[in-house]
Order: sequence, then C-alpha cells, then structure tokens
Amino acid sequence: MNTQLMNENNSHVSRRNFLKGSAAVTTVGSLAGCVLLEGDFGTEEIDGIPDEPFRIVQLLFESGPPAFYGEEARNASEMLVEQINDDGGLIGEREIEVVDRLDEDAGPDSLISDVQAMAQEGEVDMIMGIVSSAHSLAVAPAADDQQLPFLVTMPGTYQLFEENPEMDHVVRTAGTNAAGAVGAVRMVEQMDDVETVITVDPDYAWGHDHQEMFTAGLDAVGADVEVVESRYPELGETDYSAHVSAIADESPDLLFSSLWGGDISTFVSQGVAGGLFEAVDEALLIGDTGAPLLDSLGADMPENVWLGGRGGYQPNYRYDEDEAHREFVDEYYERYDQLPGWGAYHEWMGFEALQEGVERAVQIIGDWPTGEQLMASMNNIAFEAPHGQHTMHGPQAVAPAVFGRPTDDHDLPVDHPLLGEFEFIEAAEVNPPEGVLTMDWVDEIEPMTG
Amino acid sequence: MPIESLMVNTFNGLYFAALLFFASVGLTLVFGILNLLNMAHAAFYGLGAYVAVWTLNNMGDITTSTVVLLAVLVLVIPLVVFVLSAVLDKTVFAPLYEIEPVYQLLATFGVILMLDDVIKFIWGASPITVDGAVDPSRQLGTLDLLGISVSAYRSVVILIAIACAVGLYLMFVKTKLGKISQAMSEDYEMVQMLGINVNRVRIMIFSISVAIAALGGALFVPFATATPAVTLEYVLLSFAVIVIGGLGSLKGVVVAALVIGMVRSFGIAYYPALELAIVFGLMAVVIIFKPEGLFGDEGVVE
Repeated sequence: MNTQLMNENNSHVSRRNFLKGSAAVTTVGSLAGCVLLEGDFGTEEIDGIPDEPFRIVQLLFESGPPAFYGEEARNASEMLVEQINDDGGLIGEREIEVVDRLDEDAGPDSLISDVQAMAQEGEVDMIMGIVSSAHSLAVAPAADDQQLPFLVTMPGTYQLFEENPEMDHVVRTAGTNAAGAVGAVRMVEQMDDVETVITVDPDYAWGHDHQEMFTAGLDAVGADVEVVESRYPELGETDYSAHVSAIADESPDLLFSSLWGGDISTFVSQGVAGGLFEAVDEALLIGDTGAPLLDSLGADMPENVWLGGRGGYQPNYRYDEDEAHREFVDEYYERYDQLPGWGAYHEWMGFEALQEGVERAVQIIGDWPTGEQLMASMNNIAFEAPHGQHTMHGPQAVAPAVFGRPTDDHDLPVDHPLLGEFEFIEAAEVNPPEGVLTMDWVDEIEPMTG
Repeated sequence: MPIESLMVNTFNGLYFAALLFFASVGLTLVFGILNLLNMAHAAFYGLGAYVAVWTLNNMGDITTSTVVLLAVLVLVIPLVVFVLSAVLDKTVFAPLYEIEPVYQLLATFGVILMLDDVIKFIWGASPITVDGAVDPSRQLGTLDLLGISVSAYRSVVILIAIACAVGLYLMFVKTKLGKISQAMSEDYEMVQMLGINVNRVRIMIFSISVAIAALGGALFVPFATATPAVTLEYVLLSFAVIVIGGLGSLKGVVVAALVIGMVRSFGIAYYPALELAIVFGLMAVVIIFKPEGLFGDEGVVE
C-alpha cells in the first residue's frame, strides 16, 4: 500500500524534480524509512529492476608509477563484486559487472573522451575509481556534463567539489587530503619539543595541497614551529640520496611527507641507509601509507615515525572489534597473499556507498533509481568503516585521521611490522564544516580541544 | 659550505653518475656502432632491477654471503640478460636495423611497453625491496672516507662503474671485436664486404650493451626499490645523457653522466625547488649551444 502510494507520487511528479537535491532525498528518505521500517522492503513489489547487470567501468592506473595503487583497487573490487554477486547482487537482485577498465596512465584528455563516448553509447551505468587527484579534477566535471554517474573512490584533493560545486552526478567516498594534512597538524599539537620541520611532498596537486594545508594549519593553531625547508621531489623519483643528506644535515625536529606508494618506500629505505631517521626526532608520513610500506621495508622500518592519514585504513586497526573489517582483511589476504593497502580500502568504501545508496533509493522510490537518483541517494549517508561511521557531507565523505607507530607486536599472519599505538582524531577536528571552503577553514582552525 | 656536506654531495653525485652511466652507455654504443636508436634500452635497466630483487630475495635460504650476493649481481644477472638479449636481437630487434630512425623509435617504444607489462605480469605493480638479510648494501654498512661516513656498497658501485668504463675503452682499442666494431661505426657495408660476420659482431655489441644496462639495474636495487616507474625514469634520463654527451660517444656518456650527477646532487641539496628543471634545463642549454651534444661529432672512443 505504502509503496503504491510512493509510485503514484512518482507518476505525478517527474522523477528528476522529485529527487533534485540531496535534501529532498533526506526528507523523503526519513519518511520512507518510517513507513518501511517494518520488515524487509519486499523486492517482489519493485518494478523495473533491469535484467542486465549493473555495469561499471573502472578508472585506475594499470601502468606507470602509481600502478601498484591501482592494483590494490582492482584486487579489492574483484573480490567485493564477487561477494556482492554471491548474495544476489545490489539489494540482492541485480548483479554488478565491471565491464571495462580504463588505464589512467593514458592521461586526462584520453579519459575525458572515453567518458564522453561511454555516456553517448549509454552502455554503462556508472564509472568508478580514479587514483590521481589531477585526473579527478579533469574527469569528474566531464562525466557530470554528460550526466554519467561517477563514484570517485581514491583521490584526495580538496578542490574536487570546491572547484565544481554544481556536480550532481559525482560522489566521492574518500576523505579529502585536509584530513591527512590537518590530522598531521593535530599530531604536532600533541608533540613536545618540535620547533623545526622539513616537508617533503611530491611535485603536483596532492603534494602542494598537503604542504600548504600543513603549514597554514600550524600557523593557525599558533604552534611554535617553523617550516625551515620544503622539498618537492618529482613523482616517481628513484634516488633521494641528495634530499636525504640535505635533510640529515639540517636535522629538523620533525619530517613531514605526503609521498606515497613506491615513492615513500624508496624514500624511507634510502633515508634509513643515509641515517635520516637518526637525524630527525619524528616523522609524519601521511601519504596513504600503511601495510604495503611496512611490508616492503620490513625490519628496516624506523620506529620514530607516525604513519596514516585520512582514514583508519590499517589492517590491524580495530581488527578484533570490527567484524566487517576483519572479514575484509582476511579474505583479501587469503586471495592475494598480502594485506590490503589504501587503494583497496578506498574501493571498499565505494562499494559500501553504492550498496547503501541503491538500497536507500529503492526504498524511497520503489523502483530502480536513475543515475541521478542513485548518486543523490549516496549523498548524506553514513556506513560502517574500519574507523567507525564513514559519513558523507553531501557528496563528499568526511574522514577522521588515524595514525599509528610501526610495531612487530600484532597478531596478523605476516612477518613484517604493522601499526600500533593508534591515534584517532575525529572527523570534525580535521575537516571543514559543510559549506566552508577548506583553505579558508584551515587558515582559521583553533587548537584542538580535549 | 662546510667541507663535509661538499663531500657528501660529491659522493651522491658520483653514485648517481655511475647509475646513469650503466643505464645509458649501451644506448650510445648501439647507436654509434649499429645505428639503432633503441629507445627501449634503459627498460633493460628496469628488468635488471626486478631480476636482481627477485633473485636476491630467493637466495636467502641458500646463502647470505656478501661475496656470493655481489657475484650474483655483478656476474650472473648480466650474463643471463646477455643471453636473453642475444635472443631478442635475433628476433625482436633484427628487423629494426634496416628501417628509418623514426620507425626505430616507434618500434622500440613498443618494446618498452611490452617489457613494462612483462615486469608487471611477473612481479606485479607493488614496489619490491631487497630483504635486509640478503641486501649487500646493508651487509657492507658504511666506511669512513676522508672524515665522512659513506655507504660502502655505493662506493663499490662507483668503482664498478669506473672499471666498466675503462674495460669498454680497452675493449675498443685493444681487442679485435672492438676494432671491428669501430670500423663498423665508420662504414658498416665495407666491413661486411671484407667478409667479416657483422651479424655476430652486432649481436655481441648489442648484448654487451644491454647486459651493462641490466648490471646497472641490478646494482641499483639494493639501495632503492624496484617499481614499475624505474623503467621510464631511466629511459628519459638516459636520453638526457646522450643528448648532452652526444650520440655515439663513450667519452660523451662518461662526461654527461658526471655533469648531470653533480649538478643534480648539488642542485637538490642547495636549491631544492629547481629539482625538476635541473637535468632538462642542462639539456636545453646543450641543445641551444651545441645541438650535436658535447662530443657528438666524435667517434665511439675518440
């Protein structure tokens, strides 16, 4: 009866207007939530679930320096799609099929024309993924122009929605790099005896964003800390020894870096050889680092570092407490013989949002959602993540910051260190309030309370 | 500028120059003698790095003796790649010698992509480092050199590069193979008409060149990380070396590798903002004032 009512509503109001904004979804969602609270929403009453699978095209690096990150994402998505389909698919009714993968190494122009072609052909229900911040800034507006739903899962640049506030076909389930950079500021606030810092960040949007936010944030909280030098090695650098000896000469109290992937691995191993971690007191490595770095460094991993950033994406973080996390880690390890890295976690969050979004949309409209409805229904939701509730502010996730220190004291079946002594900094301390521009907020942040 | 940091930066520069030398000397030889502009040359540097990291990590159960590990890096891996490249020369590269340089560039660029995918297919895309127990750079530790503490392993790499440069020079001026190949670089057809088996010489030169690149990759990896990015980075750097040094000149490679190594090392240390611009800025200056490179108008060992 109630579902029928909703359908009648739909026949009078065009669906496009009906679900124009996320606010509408939230209001209607709470209503529908009430009426549907009793028992399952009966899927037999839902018309229009398409017969063909839900077709996704992934965008990720399959070659070039960041390919390892793309590989984690691909691994995780293969695993998750299989799991979801084993349960019947989205809302148990519609299977997912990853119909194609586009290699980001082809560059933004090529990605944009592929996206336009896909939108014209109409054979794809949603595109998903993307590693590079720079690529996300180019591709997301293009997908939105073409009204092709785009679930952005990995890049961190805070500029994505701030530069393109009107996008209604784009949702990002990764926290922005504000969480990592401001999280690092929060860590410095808790450190004693830090007076000098050197920053080392990759020479593109991700690295410069981080350096600027970190420096501005330190200023804003009134930390008595001087950034004495900022270095920007090229992406994919293989010989950091000149940087290492220059930093070791300077011996700052703190080293801050958003280098990621193979770069942070090379940098740390050459840093160890060059005595870098004896020359600095502490290092904050916030470039989506975790298990893969600890795996590649093994016993050489220095102990006076904090690893982490925008999310609790460390395999042993709340591993015992959180069953879903434990299953994700165990299954991933069993399949791929390694622990999941950040690319895998980001992809997991994407699929969580997708499932949650489809379920919510179907509950509200009693029908399979259009692309725009689907994306709207992923706005302002929350779902479980290893760090607790993963909350979307509109189309953008706000992640807490989580940092840990390397330790051999863990129960996972790998012979390399993982993290311990976790520090959790809640999302509100490391993300701007909704509607406030990130840099404006960073310039004004208050010292952390409590 | 304190004397210690001057020396540390010089050492870093020498080490980087040694790596550049390994990655690019074969490129210039293959072009100078065989007239093949092999863009894929430095991709074998990446291959050497992966083969080395894989071999070392699998040797842990057999032995962790530094001498054996170094012997594997310096002898076994180049030898394996030497044989492999002889096969590749007969198959993949043979048709390329006869075509115009622009097609050579395109075709050998294709070889880079193939090698890149082979590497990813076998070893995956995650960065791989040498395990501590079988890492000669850790085993050798540091040594005191005129008051500064430097990595003993990296000093060994610099010495091997010097030995390799001297060895190549002696090969060209003293051995029959060297003299024939010098003649081939002057007049390929004439050498062929004199009844010399140029194919055999070609395969030797090609395989030696590629093996040196693989040697460089193998020596590079204990002090770095094998990632898919290595291939492309050294392809670009090796082109910078031969543009600056001049195509086809052994001396050019040595000088250019040293110049780039030093300028980069001191540049990064004192003007970090310039890092990206340094190598290619240097290249631009050379192209403007001496488009053929510093020693481009000379023969292989003049």
